Amino acid sequence: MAKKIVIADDEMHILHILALKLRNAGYEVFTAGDGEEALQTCRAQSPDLIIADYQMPYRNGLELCTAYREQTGRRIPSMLITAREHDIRIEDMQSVGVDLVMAKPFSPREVVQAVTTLLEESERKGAA
Amino acid sequence: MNVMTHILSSREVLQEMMSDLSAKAAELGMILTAWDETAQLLPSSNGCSEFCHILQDCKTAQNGCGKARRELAQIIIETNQPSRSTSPWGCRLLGIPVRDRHRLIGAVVVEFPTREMLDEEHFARLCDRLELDQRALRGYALEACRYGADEASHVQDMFTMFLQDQQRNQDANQALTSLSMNLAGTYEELSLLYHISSTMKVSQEPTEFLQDVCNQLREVMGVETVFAVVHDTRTRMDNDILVMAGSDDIDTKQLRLLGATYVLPLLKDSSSLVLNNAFDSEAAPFLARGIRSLIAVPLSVEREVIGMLMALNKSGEFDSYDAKLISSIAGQSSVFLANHRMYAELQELLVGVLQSLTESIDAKDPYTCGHSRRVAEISRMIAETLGLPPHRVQQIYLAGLLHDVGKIGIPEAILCKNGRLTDAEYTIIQQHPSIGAKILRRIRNLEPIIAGVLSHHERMDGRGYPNGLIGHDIPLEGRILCLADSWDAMTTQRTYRDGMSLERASEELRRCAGTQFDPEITRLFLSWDIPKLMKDLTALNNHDLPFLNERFF
Repeated sequence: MAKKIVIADDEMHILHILALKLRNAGYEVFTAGDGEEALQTCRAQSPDLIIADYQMPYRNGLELCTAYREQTGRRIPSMLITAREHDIRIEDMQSVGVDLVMAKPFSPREVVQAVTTLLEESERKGAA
Repeated sequence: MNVMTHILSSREVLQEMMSDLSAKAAELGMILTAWDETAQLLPSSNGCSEFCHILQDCKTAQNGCGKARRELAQIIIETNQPSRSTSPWGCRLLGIPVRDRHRLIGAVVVEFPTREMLDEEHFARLCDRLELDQRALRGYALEACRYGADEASHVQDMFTMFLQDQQRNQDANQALTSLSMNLAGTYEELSLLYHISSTMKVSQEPTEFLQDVCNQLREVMGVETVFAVVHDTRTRMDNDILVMAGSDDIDTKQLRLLGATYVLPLLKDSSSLVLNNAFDSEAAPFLARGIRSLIAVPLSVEREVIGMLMALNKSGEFDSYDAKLISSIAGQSSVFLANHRMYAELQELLVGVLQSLTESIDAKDPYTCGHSRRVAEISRMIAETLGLPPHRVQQIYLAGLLHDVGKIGIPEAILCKNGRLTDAEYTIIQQHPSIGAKILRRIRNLEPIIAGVLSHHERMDGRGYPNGLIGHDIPLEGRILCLADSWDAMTTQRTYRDGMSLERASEELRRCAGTQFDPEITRLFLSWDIPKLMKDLTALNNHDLPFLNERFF
């Protein structure tokens, strides 16, 4: 079963690049253009991993991850890819449970690698 | 859900468009079939009315339906124009050409049963021919035959519009995918450039740095192999560096030859060399087995070409995008190599100055020629045996070379006096460690060795000079130098006496271990093969200072 990934970003070209690369890598990808749409997509699709931008309309990336966790009780790996790296505090990241933050511009290859690694680790932890 | 991960073939484009159109056709109770440019039927799942199902499934009708559609499709494809016809049973068929940009990629045929078919006479004849029961069929027919034959042109217009919408959609999606792929590639290149810039630490060895460059470049360019060759004679590299990332199959000797004889001469005049069909080019005789295409750029320092960066075997052809990227990386690498060269030259300068200083000490007192060098060598060996880190070993070596530099401030009359020294003269000589430290304080880079120079005449029992330090308060460097200095003094000929025998000198060390010398260092020294050590030391005298290749500052 292909793993599901939800990507949330209000910049369409980012959504497109990441969807392209991740689908090529064999993942099933769902995209959303703002925090609210992203939350709804997550609730509908039960993804295995979330990639979110920090700054988005309605909910930012951290709020999205928090809301999803609170509403469903699911603790899944998540990563932020953002141009606002400096705005994010480590405490917020840790309390929300975001696993990784990457700054834009990113290397698409590295994102795919990070996704693979996070999913593998999560499986290992789950199996343990 | 559109899953577009690459640029689609025309058949795939057609398939994409059909799914939406089929759904619309089914809504309207029509049958839609799609045909590619060779009039082959595309597989499709088109739900249609019961009536049409029955018509299709009926044995006698089957070939007829398909035949009529195919014939129409063929006409569309040949003429590249929409057209209409009627099936043998009276269904109306309309055909629309499908284009991708301006190229014809196939045809769509839409079919619907008409109200005219419900005409009693016509219907009776139809059921007769198809051997179907009129009454059973009538019900389905009433449901299915919604439109008049004359509405065909409207239907055709409608589907033409749908198709154009679909085509616009397709175009937009394709453009977006192409753009995204390009953008993704650009992001990768940007990341690579950022990465190289941030990892360019001067303290890195060229081999390490170049290996990282080759690895990263290989991934971003998507080539089989990337390698770098550097031969900088000014940094006294004994061998040139050859670093490779990727397949190991390629013969490195052959590569070096290719570089030296063919590529480098060409790179002297131009900024890059691109060979896409290497076998057909002038380079063919120089090629190693397995090289299909290559791109090479020079690595230069101060306008001198000292090496090259080469990428081999891309799945497509090398183009100007590749040339610019590899040139940029080569440029950054050249800066790194230039810095490395400067540091190497600076180090050489420092070593040269130290050598002069050392020789000036020995020149003052000809009977102790080579003394400093021997003390340095013995101290270095002690430090190594103690397992000290390389930079500290180097520091102790330097301290050994310069431990007596303070003697420059001692009058020759006292230094070279033949007889016993008076107390006053002795006091003056005892100043040489402090004088030495004072002289060396001027050279900031030598700060780590001052402690050793200052304390090389201290004694474990506190009766040494200048500060009377006790035991382990004396810096380790001082304790090591003290032993080395004393050993050499005892075993070489002096102005006022001959050198001691090795046995007597060893006995002296043992006797004074704990009082003058550090007992552990003494034990270590005496455990060595002393005669061999002495032989090695005599061999030292005639050589230049070994090149200090660790960064000691």
